[in-house]
Amino acid sequence: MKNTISFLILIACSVYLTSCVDQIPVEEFAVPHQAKIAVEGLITSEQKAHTVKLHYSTDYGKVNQPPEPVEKALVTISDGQNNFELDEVSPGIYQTDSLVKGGVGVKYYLKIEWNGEVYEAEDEMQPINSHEQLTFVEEAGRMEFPYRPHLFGFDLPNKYDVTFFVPDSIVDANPDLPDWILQKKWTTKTFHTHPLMEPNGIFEFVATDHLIFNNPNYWVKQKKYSISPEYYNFLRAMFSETDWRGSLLDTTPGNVPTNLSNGAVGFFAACAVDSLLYPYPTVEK
Amino acid sequence: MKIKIVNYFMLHIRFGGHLNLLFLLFWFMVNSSFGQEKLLQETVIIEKGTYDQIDIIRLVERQLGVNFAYSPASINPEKTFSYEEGIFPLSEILNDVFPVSEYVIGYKNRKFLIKGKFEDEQNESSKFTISGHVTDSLTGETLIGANIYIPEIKQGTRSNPYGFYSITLPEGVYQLLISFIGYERQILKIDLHQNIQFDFPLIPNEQMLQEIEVTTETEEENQNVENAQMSMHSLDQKFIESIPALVGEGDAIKAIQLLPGIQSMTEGSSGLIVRGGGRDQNLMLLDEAPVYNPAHLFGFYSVFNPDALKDLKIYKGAFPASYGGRLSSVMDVRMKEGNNQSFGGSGGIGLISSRLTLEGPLKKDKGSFMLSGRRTYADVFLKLDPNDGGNDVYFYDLNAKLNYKIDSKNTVFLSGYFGRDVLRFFNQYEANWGNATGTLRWNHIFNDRLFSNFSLIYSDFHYQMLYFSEAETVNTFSWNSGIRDLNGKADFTYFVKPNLTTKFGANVIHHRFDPGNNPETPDQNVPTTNALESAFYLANEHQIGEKLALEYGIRFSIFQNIGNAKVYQFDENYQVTDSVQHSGGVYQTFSGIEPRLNIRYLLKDNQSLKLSYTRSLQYLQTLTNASLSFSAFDIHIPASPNIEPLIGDQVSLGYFRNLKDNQFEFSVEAYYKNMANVIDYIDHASLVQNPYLEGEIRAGNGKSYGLEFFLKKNTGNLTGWVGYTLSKAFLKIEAINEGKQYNAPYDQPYSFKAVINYQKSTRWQFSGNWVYSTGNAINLPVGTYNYEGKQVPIYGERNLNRLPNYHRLDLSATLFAKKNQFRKFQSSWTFALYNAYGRINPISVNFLPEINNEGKKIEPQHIVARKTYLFSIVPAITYNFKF
Repeated sequence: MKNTISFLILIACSVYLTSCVDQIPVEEFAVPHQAKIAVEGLITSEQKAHTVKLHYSTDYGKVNQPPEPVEKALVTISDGQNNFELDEVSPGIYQTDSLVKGGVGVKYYLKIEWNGEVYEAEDEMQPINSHEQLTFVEEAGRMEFPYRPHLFGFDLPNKYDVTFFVPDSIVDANPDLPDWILQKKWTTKTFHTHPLMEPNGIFEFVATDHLIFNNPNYWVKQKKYSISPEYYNFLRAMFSETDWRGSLLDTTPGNVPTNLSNGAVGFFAACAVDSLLYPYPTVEK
Repeated sequence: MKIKIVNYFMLHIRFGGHLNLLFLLFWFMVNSSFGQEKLLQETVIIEKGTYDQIDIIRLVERQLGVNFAYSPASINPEKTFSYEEGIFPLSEILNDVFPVSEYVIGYKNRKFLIKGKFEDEQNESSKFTISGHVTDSLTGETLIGANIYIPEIKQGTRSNPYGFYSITLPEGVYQLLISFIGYERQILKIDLHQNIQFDFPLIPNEQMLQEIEVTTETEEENQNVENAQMSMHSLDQKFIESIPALVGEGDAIKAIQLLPGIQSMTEGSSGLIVRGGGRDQNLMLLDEAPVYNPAHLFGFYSVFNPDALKDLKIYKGAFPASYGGRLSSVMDVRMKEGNNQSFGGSGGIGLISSRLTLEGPLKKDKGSFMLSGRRTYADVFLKLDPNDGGNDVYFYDLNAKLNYKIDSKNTVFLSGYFGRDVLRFFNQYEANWGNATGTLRWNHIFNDRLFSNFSLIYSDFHYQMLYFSEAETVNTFSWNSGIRDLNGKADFTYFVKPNLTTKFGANVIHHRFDPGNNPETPDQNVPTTNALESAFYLANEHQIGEKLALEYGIRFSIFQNIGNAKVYQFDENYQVTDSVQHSGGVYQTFSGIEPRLNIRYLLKDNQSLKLSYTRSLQYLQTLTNASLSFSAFDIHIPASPNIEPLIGDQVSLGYFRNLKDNQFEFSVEAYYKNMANVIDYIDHASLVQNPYLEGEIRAGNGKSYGLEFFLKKNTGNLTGWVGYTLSKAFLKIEAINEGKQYNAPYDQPYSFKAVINYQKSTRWQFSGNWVYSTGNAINLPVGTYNYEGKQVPIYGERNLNRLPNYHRLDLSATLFAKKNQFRKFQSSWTFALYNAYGRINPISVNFLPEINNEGKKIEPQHIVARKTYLFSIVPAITYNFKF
């Protein structure tokens, strides 16, 4: 539960005050804005179709409307030797073919040609030094994973995708599994580790979500992404402007950096990915 | 026959040839009329007879409609002059009665000033000094700023911060009027023929006991007009306690924020913004010890416990030379010394916190103690819930002071403050912070005219942020930061003569800066550094004639980075290129001269013009991570090889007028302030665990200007003030806002404040204040794009937007229990309403996913503008007692 305001309310309650929030439609704050090309691009060490999303930035008053895609752009990813041309698989969504696989230590270049303009970016794929299973905690005879979207004080910045699931083989072999297990067949959580203690992130007061899958049928699939220093600068600033905005130790607003040229915004990243697969731990009887 | 007559201008050059150019320029401005020699040719009819000098003066005054000013010491009553009946030119009469060999006469606008030529030399041996302390007769507490006035010479002096006064006069009989608001005026006739030490114990005026006074005015003076000091406000404990406050307890900082030119950073904050200067540009002194963070409980309370305070002065500009180290304001707070006559106490019980103060004699008339403490107890209530989630919030503080009068020339004081705040949330995050100060002072009176004070001062502020990895109490990560000062200080006051007081002194501060450390990750620590900050000052308070008063001085300050330190070197892109390890000694020195000047020119008895110029150097600045101000997370960093000291110049011009026998004070002040080397950090800078912190900092300039109107009623059952401020504040810092000038975040173009206190009877007192101001400058996004499902804002020009205008009404009523003359115990109930009409004043606007009543995001996510406000109507009730 995101709970920044709760702490203010706690303070307010403790001094019998009434800290409150008014929520107002953003349309009231609309001002004209010159649209920019926004890029969300990622190439990983997995062999798969890698995606670059292109759309126009919009007036803030239209923040809740779907962004307008940038169509018919010429998008290319290169490792300096090989060029991978991306196809527009749906409006504004461009993909490589499914055989492309990134390599650690390789610098990747993105080139976007659109409407007579060229936008370029580069990022180097960093290695993943180690990858360990998540730490589960025994609480009242059950194992739980204390989940928070941001964890601080780690050696390196990384992104994790963690999926708790019941393998199809188990579902097929146990037709009598109760509905509540089947309904929670797939649960995916993403979190980031941060090397520094970010005051605005910490004092965002996101309470721990205690994820409990107390059933021997569950498995865990854990993916860890490496993050380059430039990409982390981008992510850290982006979190300051999104997840951590409104924190008790809020920072002065500022534009998020980019590795794209020619006035485009967003980021093109190259990340190594490592996966672990293991059964959800249970308490030994 | 020649007569030596000079105009005032010449005369003052003789008196004060050392005055600086600014004074001369000012004098040219106000003295534009010359060539009045015709006056000397006017004639006077004198009847046959024998006259003394006073007779002649009165005769001339009556016939020619002129006025004479003179020192009684310059008149010789034994000297007589015989005249035959006739008509005589004025020049001839003056030359006879006040010969050029003995007198200098100045004149302007039909007003003459007569001064004995060798008066000083002749009279020095026949001058005597009366000196001593002014105290409260019931408690023995010294009174700061009490007025000692001598009608015969139309001059006087004031007791200094230790209650000491000294005035030197020629031998003779004088009447002394001693006054201090809230006390019975004393009139003393003295035959001064030797040096006298005389303490004045003033008796509290029973009628005034529960009235509120906002300054120390007396009917013999109108300080607001006559004092050369401008841009200064003085508040006493009673006034501070009378103001309706957030939680029912008066607060010094909140009271100050109701003055024109002073604002809070956001609602509820204890940070001060003074005349467009940054929050770190205020020197807050508690018994001379700097307080680096005045906030308790996010700033809802300040660290200055009103029960422990005796006197508070805030200078918005025109700083006396004895103060230095900050650009925008000096807040000088003095603690009570304690009752040296009898044991007593006071306190209060509120819904949020309680407080208790005890005081009494160590030895009657010789020494006393004061002990005052506060504690909130919200945490106690939180713990009543077994599922409190590990939340904790509380603060406590303690003020203590001892003083002992060793003999008539020596008094020692020991005072200190200690406070701590703890905020803990869900057993996951904790911030704790606190100040500690200590002051050891020795007052020594070298002789009747030379007063001195020697101080040893300690000040420490530090905070800790803790982050727990899981819902356990194990500390897995911490960040500590702070600053510690050790200060040695000597101040001298030499009461040269009634119209001239000289102050001089020196101090040396050892600073230890710890911008941030984690003991477990020393490689990420920001280097700890040490510095010496030294200063010397010399200043005069000089009354020249009846119209002109000057306070001028100079301060010379030196700042030296010293000791073992690792200093990083940066290239033009702020990338680290190298580092230098210093292993002791001085590795960087900054110094500067800080001139100070206040000029007062009396237009009429109740009107004056004042002009001031102040240059200040500030060798330490503060970075804060928070855009909101109720943060303890401040990083104090010194001037260094990578950071230049902050330099500020402020010019103020004011018109001051008192009305209706000084019942009302009116002033309008205009100011312009220029600040060089203001620092800020780049967008999304890393302020913790970053050894290269200085590489995140950029420097630039700031400026502010404004106009402050102030009308105050001092006496009667209805007291208070209204203030209106027009102002602007800008910053221009490299790499921020693309290097273009932008509104400072605390820029507040309009502000209106009204404070009223009404003493209905001896039992009921009502107070109210109303504030209206422009909303703070903020930065709202103009565009957005999507990245991994998050709406990333795009900002335009910095601080171009505004929060809604701010306004708030606070009310309070105090019911005093009936007085029983046989009981020492007194009590009262205070009922207060903060934000009485429930105005919603947002402190921030953020664009975040919409949440439901349970605080959970609504799916699918929908971005809204969240206006966060802290307070609606806040009632409070407090029981106060005194015994």
